[in-house]
Amino acid sequence: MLLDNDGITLKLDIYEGPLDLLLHLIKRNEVDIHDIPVSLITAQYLEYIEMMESLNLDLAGDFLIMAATLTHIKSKMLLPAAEVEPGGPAVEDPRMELVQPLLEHAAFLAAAEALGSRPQLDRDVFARGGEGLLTLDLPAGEKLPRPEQRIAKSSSFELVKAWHHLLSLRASEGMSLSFHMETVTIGERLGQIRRFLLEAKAAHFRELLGDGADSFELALSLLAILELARTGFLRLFQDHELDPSGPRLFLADPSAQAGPESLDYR
Amino acid sequence: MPSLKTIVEGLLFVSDQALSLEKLAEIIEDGSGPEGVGRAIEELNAEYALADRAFSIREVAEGFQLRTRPDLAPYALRLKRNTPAKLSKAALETLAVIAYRQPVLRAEIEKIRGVDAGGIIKTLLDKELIRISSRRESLPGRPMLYSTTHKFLETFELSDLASLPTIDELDNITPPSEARLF
Repeated sequence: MLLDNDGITLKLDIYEGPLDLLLHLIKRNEVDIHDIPVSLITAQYLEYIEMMESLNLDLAGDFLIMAATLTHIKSKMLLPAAEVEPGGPAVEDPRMELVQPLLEHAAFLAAAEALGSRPQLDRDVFARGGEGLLTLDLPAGEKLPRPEQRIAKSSSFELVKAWHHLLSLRASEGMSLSFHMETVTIGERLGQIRRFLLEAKAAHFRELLGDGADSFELALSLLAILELARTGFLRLFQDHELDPSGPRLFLADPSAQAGPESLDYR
Repeated sequence: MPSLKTIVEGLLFVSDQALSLEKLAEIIEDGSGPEGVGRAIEELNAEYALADRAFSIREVAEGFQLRTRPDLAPYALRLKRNTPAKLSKAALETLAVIAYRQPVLRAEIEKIRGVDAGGIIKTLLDKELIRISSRRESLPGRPMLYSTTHKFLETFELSDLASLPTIDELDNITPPSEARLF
C-alpha cells in the first residue's frame, strides 16, 4: 500500500477481480449465467467501477478491460442479427465469450468452498501435541462470544459499498472529507490502541475512535485494528449483525508484537 | 500380551504424525499385515463412535492419525494459544485451482481467477500448502509450476488427491442460491 503526499493515492491489492464482480452482480440480480441481461449487468458493472474510482481504489487494468468487453458485447447485441443462410454456421451469441470463463471461475469458487468446508487441521480437528496454551485475558464478567458467531460472509465489493456509504453519510452530515496529514501515523495509532486495550481488555470499535474522527483517522484506526488482529494481539467479534457500535475487540495475546515501524506510511 | 487393536491404538496415540498401514504392520510384527491393521482401525473407530469418544482415527495423507471430533473445535481453540491459521477466500480459491490443475503455471491460475496471484502464491508457499514442483521447459523463461504438498493433504484431511470431489460433482452453479459464491 502506498500513501503519497500530494493528494492521496491509496493503492490496495484487490484480490477479487472482474470475474468476481460479474458473478456478484449476476447473483445479486438472480439472473441465469447462460442468459445474462448484458445491458443491466454492464450498467451496474460500470456503476461499481465509478464507485471504486471515487474511492481512489487503484483499479487493476483487468477491470477496465472487462468493462470494454461488456460494452462491446452490449453493442454487438444491439445490431440486428445477420442473415443466417440455411445450413450455414449458426451465429454465435456474443455473450458466449463471457460464459465460459464465468462458468470455470464459478466452478473453482465452488471447489474452494468445498475445500474450505472440510475439517481443517488445527482449526476444526486437532491431532496430538501441538502449540502452547492460551489464557485469554478478559475483563471480569466478559464472556467470549461463541465461535459460530464469528463468521460473516461478505465480499470486498460489499466492503467498498459500505465504505462508500460511510463516507457519503459523513459528507451529508456536513463533515469535511478533506484528509489531514498532520495528525497521527498508523504506527502511533497502533500504539494508542495497544495501550488502550492492555488497560481495558475489551472495547467496541466506536470507543476507539474519537468523536470528531475524520475519514483519515477512521481508515487509520481500521488498518491498525486489522494489523493487531492479524498478529494475534486482539480478536474481533461482531455481537449482532447490525451492532451500531461496530465489532467488539478483545485483547487476545498481550505479547504479540506488531511492527509499527513497518506500518509507517508517512 | 496386548491385542492388535490395543497396540494400534497405542502407536497412534504416541505418534505425532500420520502412520501408514504398512508402517504400523512393520512395527507390530505379528503377521497381521496392513490388512489386519486396517481392520483393527475400523473396529477402533466403531468403538469410539459407540462410546461417544472425543476422537477418531482419520485417514490423512496416506496414513492414519488420531484426531478430535470437529464439534470439539470451540473448546480446543480456547485451549490453544494460536488462533487458527486462517486462509482467506482468495487463498482457498487459489489453492483449489492448484489442487485441481496441478502442476500449474501462475499465469494459468490468474487466467481462471481473473486477478493477480503472486502474493497469494507466496503465502501458500510460506504455509507449505503448495510447492514449486518443476518448471515448464518449453516456455521462455522456464516458468515455475506449482503443486500441492503433503501438508495440504494433512491439513484438509484428504487421504490423497483422488479423494477430492471432482469439479463436475461440484458443478451446481447454475441456480443462484444464497449461501454460495459470496
